[in-house]
Order: sequence, then structure tokens, then C-alpha cells
Amino acid sequence: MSIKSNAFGRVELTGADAKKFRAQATYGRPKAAAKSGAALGSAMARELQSSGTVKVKLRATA
Amino acid sequence: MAARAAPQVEIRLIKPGDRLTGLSLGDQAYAPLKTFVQRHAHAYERQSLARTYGAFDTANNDKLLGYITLVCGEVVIQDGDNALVVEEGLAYHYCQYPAVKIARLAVDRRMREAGIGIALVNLALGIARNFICPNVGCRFVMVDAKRNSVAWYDRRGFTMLDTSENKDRGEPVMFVDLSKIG
Repeated sequence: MSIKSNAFGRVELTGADAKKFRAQATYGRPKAAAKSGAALGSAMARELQSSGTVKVKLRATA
Repeated sequence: MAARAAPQVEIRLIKPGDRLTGLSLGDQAYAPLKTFVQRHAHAYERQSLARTYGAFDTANNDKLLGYITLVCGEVVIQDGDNALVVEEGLAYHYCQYPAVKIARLAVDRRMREAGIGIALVNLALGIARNFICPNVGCRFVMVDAKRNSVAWYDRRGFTMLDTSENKDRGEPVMFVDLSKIG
């Protein structure tokens, strides 16, 4: 088994890691957070495309 | 202690002339993230090797508060049968699956609870889902998460490749399957 991954490129999986990834990608269920994040991000992406920027209101920090 | 007022930031592609200095990341382990944005991000942009989106404090001379860098990537499954994509009648005989990679993500340590990182990752998912996926084809968003960021990415909806070798890595591989998030 092996994982080779470069921050700026491919993820290469063999053996048990490849098998597990196949199983997770084939049978895994999406997380609610990914769905909601992508929905919010889609609106941001559209704003970015139309105006060139996305305005984000931040939370106050301590 | 009084709460720090929340600035309104603008997220956009970096452009020539942007000052990408001044990020305070706190830990020496994050030094490569600071070095990349200061010294290399503009060149990567010019050469179309990556796209870097900065979060800029517009009320403070466009000070950089965080950034995310995205690149084209792929997942290559080298061994065994190639049955990741299962669909009646589909013949996909390749071991490569197209992906977007989060190559870099950093937020100034003084702004870490403000939601900048969440906004940047959401934007990455939105770009992949809305523009790359429909126009080019892209199955996954991948990241090599720093170990102390694994729980954070999990809360963003990323899935850990669930093997002991991956969990033992300094930067475990995590992913979102774009085909399943609608």
C-alpha cells in the first residue's frame, strides 16, 4: 500500500489505500457540511465571476 | 478582552501589484505557506500554474488576511480493478480521476476565528462545482491536510481516506466527491 501526494499535483494510490478510496468514493455518502459549503461557495463563485470580487462579512474575533 | 471588530474582506484573484506580505501564521511549520504567497504566488499566476485567491482587508490598505491556492490535479489509482465509477453501460477504463487540489490555504493567526478559511474553502468548492465541473469535468476536490487541520476539514465536509497509512501521514489526504453534493 502506498500514498504519494504532492501539494501541487496528483494523488497516487496503490494497494489497500487504492482499494479503500474506491470503496469510499463508490459507496460513501456526502457530508451535509460539504453540500452546504458548496451551496454557499457556489453563490460566492457566481459573485466572483460577475463582479471580480466576493464580499465576506467576518465574525468578530477575541 | 474586547472583541476585535470584524472587518469586511474582499476575496478575489491576486493581481499584479498586490502586496502579499505581512501574513502572520504563528508557527514555523507554516513558514512554507508564507514563503509561497510572498515569493511565488505571483509567478505561478503569471504562468497559469495555479490560481491564488486572497482575502483582503479593504479598510486597511488591502492587507492580506488569508489565501487559498487551487490547481488542477488528479487521483491515480494504480492497482487492481478500476471500479470506482460504477454505472450500467459505462466504460471508463482509466485509472485517473480529475480533481481540483487545494495546494495552499493559510489565514493570518490574528484572524483565525473570523471565518476566512471557511469562506475560502467554500469558494473553492463553489468554483469546482459551478465552473470546473460543468465545463471541464472534475470528480474530486482534494487536499493534503496538515495534521492539526484534519478536524477542521472534516467539519467542512471533507472525508479522510480511511487507511492507517493515510492517518499516519504528516499531511493526510482528504477529499470531497463532487458527484455527490448536487
